[in-house]
Amino acid sequence: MNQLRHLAIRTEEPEKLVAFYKEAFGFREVGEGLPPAQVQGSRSFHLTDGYFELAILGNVPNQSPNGLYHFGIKVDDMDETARKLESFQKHVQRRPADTSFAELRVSDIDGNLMDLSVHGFLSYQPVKSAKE
Amino acid sequence: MAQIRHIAISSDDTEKLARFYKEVFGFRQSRPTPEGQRTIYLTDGHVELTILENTNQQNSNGLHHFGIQTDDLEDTVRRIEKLQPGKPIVRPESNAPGNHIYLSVNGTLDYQPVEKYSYLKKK
Repeated sequence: MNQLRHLAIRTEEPEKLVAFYKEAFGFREVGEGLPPAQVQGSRSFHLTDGYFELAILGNVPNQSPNGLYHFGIKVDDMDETARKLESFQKHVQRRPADTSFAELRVSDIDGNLMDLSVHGFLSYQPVKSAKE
Repeated sequence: MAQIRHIAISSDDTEKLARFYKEVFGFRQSRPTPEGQRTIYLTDGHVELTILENTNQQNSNGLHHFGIQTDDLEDTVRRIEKLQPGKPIVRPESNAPGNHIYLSVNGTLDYQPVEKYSYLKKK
């Protein structure tokens, strides 16, 4: 079964927001990720309730609004999911196979951004992957 | 342990968007749409994805809020008040800016009435 497992929020003060979710809700940190090349200098953090990942992304360049950014679905079969997506929309672009992030970034038919991943959002370690 | 169990998206065409999530990801409807409304409640079996009807188009379509199921609502509210002294905790119908978090001890996949609070970031 495909599972909703990830939500990302952008903020200018990720450390402050991380502290809020840890102290208010007891979420724990699973790893500090490195940002994509185009946003070097930003900071991102990955929290979890044990099942679901809440990513707090640094919005350093301020090229986009702060707030709810995208959500993620752990999919059982990426090829089958991509085929179904293509029945609704023309263009589905995959990320490089060695990406440390979700394998696919797409939008739904309303334009809401989604990350799709077979490996999921807690089973990989962004820091370790980036250093290897 | 508090759990993230709810994501809500606002849309002009809830039926079309719900069909997308059903057909592409196999999500199923978790509860009936209230009579006279067009909001559609989907689930993957653990997390609820609500497609909210953007009735009067006073807000943008898109990600609207998320929900956290808490073990103890009052204890959570006290912690939030301690972290954000002097800031109001109000009912969620407000259109104030910030990341809205709906808290519930009953969860969002059952039919029980839920008591909701909204944490509002400082303007």
